[in-house]
Amino acid sequence: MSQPPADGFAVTSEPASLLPSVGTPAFGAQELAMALNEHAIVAWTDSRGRITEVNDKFCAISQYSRAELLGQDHRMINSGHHPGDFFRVLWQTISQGAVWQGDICNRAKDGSFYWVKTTIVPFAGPQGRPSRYIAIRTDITERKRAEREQARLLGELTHINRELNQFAHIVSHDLKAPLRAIGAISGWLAADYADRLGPEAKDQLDLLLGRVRRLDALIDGILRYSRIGRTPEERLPVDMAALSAEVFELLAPPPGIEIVIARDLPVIQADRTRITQVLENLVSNAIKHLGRPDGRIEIGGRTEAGHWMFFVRDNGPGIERKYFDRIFQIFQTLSSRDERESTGIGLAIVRKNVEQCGGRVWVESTPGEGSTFHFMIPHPSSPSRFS
Amino acid sequence: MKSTTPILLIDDDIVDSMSVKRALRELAAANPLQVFHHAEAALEHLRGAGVAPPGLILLDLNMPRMNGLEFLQELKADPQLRHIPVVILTTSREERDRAESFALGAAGYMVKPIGHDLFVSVMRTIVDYWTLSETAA
Repeated sequence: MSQPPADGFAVTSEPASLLPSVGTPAFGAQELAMALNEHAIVAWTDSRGRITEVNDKFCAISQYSRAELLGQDHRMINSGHHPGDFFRVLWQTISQGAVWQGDICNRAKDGSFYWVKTTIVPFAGPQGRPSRYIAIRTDITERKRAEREQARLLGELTHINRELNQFAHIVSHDLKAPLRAIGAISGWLAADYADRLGPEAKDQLDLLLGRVRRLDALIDGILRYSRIGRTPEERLPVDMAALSAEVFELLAPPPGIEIVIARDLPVIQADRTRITQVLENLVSNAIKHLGRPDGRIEIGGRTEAGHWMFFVRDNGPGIERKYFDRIFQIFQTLSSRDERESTGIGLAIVRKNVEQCGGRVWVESTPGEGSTFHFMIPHPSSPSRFS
Repeated sequence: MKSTTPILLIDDDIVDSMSVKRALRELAAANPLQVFHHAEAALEHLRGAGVAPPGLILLDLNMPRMNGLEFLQELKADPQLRHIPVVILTTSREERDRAESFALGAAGYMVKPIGHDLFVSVMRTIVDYWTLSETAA
């Protein structure tokens, strides 16, 4: 029933001779053992798991002397971290002559814990059953600690993110109810007392209603912004030419505006909702700021190594270089809200969506000539996605 | 729904209730409006003896104690009341709220607009449709 391990290490006479004596012209067992001792924590045990030999690294990490370890079994360094089943499976595996591999948490003499990536190789004795085992381990304590820390941080981040989203949702809802009431009542006042209000009072009520609508738009902006990324990403083929046409149709730029969609726009692999929001906001931004009846809006793009590049170009007033970063921040507008009713959420939504796709967005512009918004979407297999 | 069939409104917001009342008045809808600020009270009313069932229920979702979805669930589980059409009238644009409302048998879902004119036009659409539509009972 016992089988020698497939790698041919089986049945040697001395615990220290790790290699069969034939077939290794370049390096002998001695040299290999030296090299191994430099790298790994090694223990030799008998058929019942009693330690018959350890190397210096074993002593160093466990803090026990060789004399303390020899004749003991590995329960000496058992951390209690693993359930009983864990070692039962381990023993079942190696006593049947199979190699066992896994990560084990052990306890050193001073009570501290350390993690080792472990390979245990059984060696068959005269009766064909495993009579000895060699366990080779690598210290992975630091990696495990980093993994735990990463998991903890990730959990915390997820929690905070969820709370923030819930907060945005609840706050927006609770802000909206009184806002609707203010809007409704000021509308009723204007309607019911139209004959008794002077022109000034009417203007003031209009201003009040305008502010209500603005606050409503801002709250909607917070809601839309906080909703991005709440749904899991779904990567599907998106035909950018068809999507661009749909976006123009939906946003219906005023007649006279020239629309150009490049013919060779690629089909990309991306989350359709996110890409749609990017295009919609960039195009509606261009329409809103064109400021001329003979405006031109162009969408172009191409496939490059590892990613896709797109741009939305307009011949509007352009943006000064010093504002290139600010325009992508939430609620930042370049003109007063009284001059131009704008929440300043559009480009923030663009940036959040592009970044959720692992991409990047930026602007190039010359005042007086127009602006070009570029965005890069990495190919799904591209490593830059994770940078 | 006949023009004499009552419309039942369940909304904890007094001003929103006033908006509905006012909109119906401006639309010259003759249907009497019954207003409840709590869903439990509305349910109790509907289950009362000899109550003429409303032709339409306008239901807010976010309410203290029993919320709109819980009310809807109770209503649709009640063989005597399940035929009454329910239109959700809420501030929530949440996908989950919309999906759950329809899953529980809502006949429509309207987001309360800002501004009285828009409110009136939403109400006009609702009332026009349900005045034209035949009802189950």
